[in-house]
Amino acid sequence: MLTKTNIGHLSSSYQRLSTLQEQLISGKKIQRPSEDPVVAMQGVRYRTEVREVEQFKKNASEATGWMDLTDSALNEVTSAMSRIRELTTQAATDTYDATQRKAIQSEVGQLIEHIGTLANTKYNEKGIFNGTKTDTPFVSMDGLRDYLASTAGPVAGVFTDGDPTGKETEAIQYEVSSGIEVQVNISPISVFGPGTFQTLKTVYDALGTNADNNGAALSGMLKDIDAMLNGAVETRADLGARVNRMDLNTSRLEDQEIIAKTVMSNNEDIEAEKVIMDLKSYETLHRAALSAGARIIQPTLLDFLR
Amino acid sequence: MGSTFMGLETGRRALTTNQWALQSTGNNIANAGTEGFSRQRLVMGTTEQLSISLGSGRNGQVGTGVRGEMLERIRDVMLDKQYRDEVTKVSYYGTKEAAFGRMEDIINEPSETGLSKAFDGFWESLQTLSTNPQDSGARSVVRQKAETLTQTFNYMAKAINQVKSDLKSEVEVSTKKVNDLLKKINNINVEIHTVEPLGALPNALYDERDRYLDELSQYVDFEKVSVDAQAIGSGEMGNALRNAEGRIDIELKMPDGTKIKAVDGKASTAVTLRFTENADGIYNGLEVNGVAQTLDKTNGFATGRLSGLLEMYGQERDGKAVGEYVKMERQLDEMAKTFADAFNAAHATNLKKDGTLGTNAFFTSTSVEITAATISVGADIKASLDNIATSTDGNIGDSQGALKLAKMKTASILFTQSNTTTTIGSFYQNVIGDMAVSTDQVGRLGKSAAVLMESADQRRMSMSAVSIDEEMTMMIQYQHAYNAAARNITTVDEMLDKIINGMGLVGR
Repeated sequence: MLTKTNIGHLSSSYQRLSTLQEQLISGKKIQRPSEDPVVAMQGVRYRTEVREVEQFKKNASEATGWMDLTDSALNEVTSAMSRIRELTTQAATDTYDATQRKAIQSEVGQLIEHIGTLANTKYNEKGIFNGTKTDTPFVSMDGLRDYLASTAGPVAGVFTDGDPTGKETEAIQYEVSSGIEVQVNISPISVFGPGTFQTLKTVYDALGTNADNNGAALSGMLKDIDAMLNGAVETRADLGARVNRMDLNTSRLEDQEIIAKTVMSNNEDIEAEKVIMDLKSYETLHRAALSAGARIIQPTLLDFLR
Repeated sequence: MGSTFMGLETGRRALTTNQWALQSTGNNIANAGTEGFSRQRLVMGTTEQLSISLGSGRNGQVGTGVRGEMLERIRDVMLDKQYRDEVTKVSYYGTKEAAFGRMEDIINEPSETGLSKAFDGFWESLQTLSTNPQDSGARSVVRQKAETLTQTFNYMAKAINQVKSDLKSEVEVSTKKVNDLLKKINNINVEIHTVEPLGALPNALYDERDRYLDELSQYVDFEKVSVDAQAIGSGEMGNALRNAEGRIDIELKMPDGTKIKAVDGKASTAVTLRFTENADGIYNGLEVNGVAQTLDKTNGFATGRLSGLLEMYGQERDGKAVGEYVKMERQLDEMAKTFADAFNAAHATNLKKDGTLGTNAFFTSTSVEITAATISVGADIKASLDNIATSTDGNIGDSQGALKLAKMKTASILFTQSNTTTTIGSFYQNVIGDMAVSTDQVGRLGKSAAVLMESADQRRMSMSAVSIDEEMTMMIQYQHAYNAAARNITTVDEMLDKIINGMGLVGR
């Protein structure tokens, strides 16, 4: 009977030790849901939360990348437009003759083409200025060249789609935080719209006119160019505000990630020092049980009979 | 006046009796490790007193020695009953705990390989797709994650089903075991009845019967009824001793309060039990000797381990299949179907690259209905990555559709069977929570029943088990008694020697 009691105590002591050892090895409080149903259920939720935040961070960095590229493309567009304005101002002086203006025209032509290329900027194989039609270029380069060369061809030929006010203006939205969607693209119309190309074409044509003194006409165009430039700058400012928002969001996600991970860890991870202490104290108890067992079981009356 | 040689006879009786007492001590020591052995003791009694004249008209009664009355086993029937009651509970909870344990192993949460991880991966892939809808890599990941998800469902359903069929065969084996035990108890009844009227106590048979009863108590709750008590008490059973235990009836206690006579002591019969099942393999009744029993099945139709097995596997209550594994299967099926249906419906409103509507069979079944076992990725999706519809305007860059799918993670859907509206994630959390709480509870109850069983067993052992110390003490006692009796015989011998050889030789 003593033996049986002893075995019972020893095996329960072993069980406790093995639970502690499992905790120490895995670093987790529980191995099975039933050991603590609440921890298990919360655990599933917290894990999901952590993964969700991680995914949102990925989405946010994707969005930031897109916006940064948009910003730098717009930067280039603005400088190209400024250069065109500079050249136009220069050409508006009537000291320039037709030949000199032709030279300026060809530089402006190159700049216009450059703006066309910028309108087709791609991020990660996606056209960023073409609404949801990310697989096609916004501006048809051949169309643009034809438009510049023709006398006054319809501006629709510049755009791949003819009419750039359809799907091209649609927003692309990323979910960057639970329930928060951010538009990552900008509508191309205010920067690369028909108005822009019409203005550019007018300037281009004016420079090409075989007249020695149309400085006044060119000066008159400066205000159109300014309007065009303003459109680009405004769009960029709007984008900048959105990038700021993204930055805030990203740093909030960082915080969220830390919180979610801490909560998850508090919920399911062991406190190593506590478990080690427990293990030590149970070990002492176990040793005591063993030695007591050894003392009790050994002697019987038989040992003392001759 | 006593006989001349009376002292010799008294001594002889003492020698014989103590020799038998020593023999029983030896037998106890030999069986110290025998399972279910109760220690035996030779009950001694005095032989008839003899009236003698003490002279001067005084009379007295003198003892004539000792005899063994009977060899009885030390056992307390009440302790047996307590112990068996607890054993029934312990094995009931133990069976459930073990089966729950296997369920937990399959569900395996929280972990890096469970269903919730598969779901997380799927939602994540949809989020990634929503940022890169034109990327066929992202599409391929979605398809892969969908495959992983369906395979996780399939695996879990298969594993649950596997354990279920294991439980079923365990029910069959246990029933067989119960039938076997009933037969054995009946056979021992018969043997006991042939020995008892001769005036002896078949202790070994009693022990054996008690061992079988201990074993039977693991499987079912029963009552043991002595049927010969009255006959033994009134001396109608031959020379049967008054502590003869007689034959017993076994009455199985049913959860609805009725009893089934499983062993009939007087008629020497034992019944054969069989659980009947319905078309789905769910147990729906009990047959005794092939006759269906009319039982109130509100609380099932068995106790002990059998009840535990039936409750885990599935049995019919109020016309419905009830059981932990049946329930888990049903919940997984409901989850798979509800998720698949809702996802398919959302997917079918999205537009594909070519502007046509997405398929409403993103997830489909390898059979007719979508269940956890049959859910699979639809043929269209398998055929081409372009069939994953991600847009709402038909353009490749539009990811509103994909975002809508990804957001289903947090969307509440109606789970018709459970009649709750919640997200898939929290539905699953509830499933896990339910299971964990049940497992925990069963384990706790099992543990407290085990403590009671342990203490009942200890009390029983302190009563019936062999203690070497005690046997040694008894051995010394019997040995000294034997030696003293021998000395007594020597003394009588010397007395007789004096009378026979030393008397009447005056003056020699």
